[in-house]
Amino acid sequence: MGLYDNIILGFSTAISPVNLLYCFIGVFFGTLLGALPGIGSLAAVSILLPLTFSLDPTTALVMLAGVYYGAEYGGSTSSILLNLPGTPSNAITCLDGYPMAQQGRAGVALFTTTIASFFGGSVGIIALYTISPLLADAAIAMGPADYFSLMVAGLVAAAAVTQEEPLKGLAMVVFGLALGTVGTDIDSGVARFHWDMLELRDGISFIALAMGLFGVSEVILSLSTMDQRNVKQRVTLRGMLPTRDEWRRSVKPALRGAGIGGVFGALPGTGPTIGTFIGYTLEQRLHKDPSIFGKGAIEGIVSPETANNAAVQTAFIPTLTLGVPGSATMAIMLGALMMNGVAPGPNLINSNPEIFWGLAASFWIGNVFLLILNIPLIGIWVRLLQIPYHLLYPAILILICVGTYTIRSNVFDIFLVLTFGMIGFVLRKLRFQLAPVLIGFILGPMIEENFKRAMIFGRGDFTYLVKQPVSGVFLALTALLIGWAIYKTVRRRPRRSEA
Amino acid sequence: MNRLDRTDLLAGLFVIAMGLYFAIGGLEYRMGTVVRMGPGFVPVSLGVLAVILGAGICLAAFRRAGALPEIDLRQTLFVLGTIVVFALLLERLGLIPAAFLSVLTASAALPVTRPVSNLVLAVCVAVGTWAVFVLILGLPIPAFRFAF
Repeated sequence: MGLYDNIILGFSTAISPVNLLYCFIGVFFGTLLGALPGIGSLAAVSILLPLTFSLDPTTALVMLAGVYYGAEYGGSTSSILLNLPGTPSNAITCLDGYPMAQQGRAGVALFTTTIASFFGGSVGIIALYTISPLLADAAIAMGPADYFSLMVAGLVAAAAVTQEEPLKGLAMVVFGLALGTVGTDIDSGVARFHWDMLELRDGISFIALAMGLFGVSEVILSLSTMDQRNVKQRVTLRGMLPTRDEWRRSVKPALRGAGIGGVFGALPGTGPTIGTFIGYTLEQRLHKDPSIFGKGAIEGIVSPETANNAAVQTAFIPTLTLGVPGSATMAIMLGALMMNGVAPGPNLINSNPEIFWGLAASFWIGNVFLLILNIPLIGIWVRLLQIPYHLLYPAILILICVGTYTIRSNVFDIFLVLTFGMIGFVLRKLRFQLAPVLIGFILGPMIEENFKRAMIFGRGDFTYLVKQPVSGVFLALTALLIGWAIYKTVRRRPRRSEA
Repeated sequence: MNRLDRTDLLAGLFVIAMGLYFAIGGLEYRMGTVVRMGPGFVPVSLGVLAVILGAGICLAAFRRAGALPEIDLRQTLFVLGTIVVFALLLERLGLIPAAFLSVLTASAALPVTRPVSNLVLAVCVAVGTWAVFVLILGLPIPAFRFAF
């Protein structure tokens, strides 16, 4: 099938009433949860994950993806109005978005970020359309050894590249991999680490893990910071239009932001947040008068927001074509696919074209929904920001509990959420990043399987992994990353001196 | 003597403890060889790796100063308590009473007392979750029951 047929197939899948409805539900709740500070896109996706359990895989993914990019759109609203980022990747938008709001130009900032997000998202989707099939074709030729090494490299990159403390990131990957060994070993039938609990023989529920690590710990951490805020801005449709000069100034930052975001989104471990930081810094360097940044420069919100939303879309490229998730949110997407019995990997595009192309088409539709939700209906979100956190967090906690329970009708899973909520809270207090835990947990079984197969291919020769050219390159890359992580830890200067 | 990051030291110790758990626990199972891995092989190797990484984190902690993180015990305990209350009551009293009582538990996490608004919130959340999960999504969770 040519690209044209695939696009048609995608749209005919995406515009079915069910998919349209769930796409809308996804972006709507994504915007809602993203706009509320204290709930990032990751927590939003984890919390709403159980609702997709009864849906077919395409619809489930359409909705979850909608939640994700919806939350990234919505996150800029609270950055601008409250100086509190709705999601981590909107943090940089505070720098110039909030000053704009203080100057009474919140409407312009909101309008601009929405258009920038739409533009960034569109560039990301085009990249997804063009690169994914090529990448999947290339990946199909890869053997188990190549696959094993690719996943290891992806895992190490996700853990070490962006972390301030790479060793702690690697430790979290190992923790995630180890959690994946809980339960029955497929080859031998031996139940491992089951603590004499029947439920643990099936392994740790991935939803309970995600909910506990990201949902519960987030609520506890937000409680102390989130309870006081108020919005004084009145946002009217009329006051939203940027001046002609601002339009002109936005074009180049938007193009650069989309490029930067697109590249960093697709790489494992970097993701949207890094893209926004690089985009912002670049605009500041290139501008003839860098002093305007931080005081409400339109370039300072355009570049990070296009980068953010381009990255959000291109993050799906490695996830859907290689089965390698670059971030915790993507790990959840993969988990949702696997729960529905769809095997991720390079065969996905060919064996389930309706999932891939339908999802890609739903991104366009979702982005159009978001344009409507964020421009004419912006007033709703502004008013929502006034809901105090003390009314929100009890509802979020109950939603987490009920959601987890509905999956297996099992109270045990709620206690599992509690356990991982506690662990997640302690880990975050100890300055660990939790995303690598989930990525390790999801990739662990796939790495093990490919390793075993590679050993069969190589007749038990360990060096087979290195001798395969593609695999060898990935392993060399992994070694470099680990070496760099150690170097960075050893060379690190004292962070702050305490008298 | 002040050059010690207590948070990182604790973090390293946590990773070591986690590694020891999986390494020692994994020894109970057959190891096998690299080529034919037994059920114990992966946990033990990961455990050993974690101990090494944990030791590295501990060592790095001695290179600079840092204080222990502060934890708000009240908030933490009430949030976690909310989940316990819900888990214990769901199958005994049904969804609506369980949700109602756990919202009240959650509200107690903040020191400010707002009895009226908390009660209203508890009713809304209880009825709301029931409406979403039972009415709309049709999940088989009883709204009320009494089964101690």
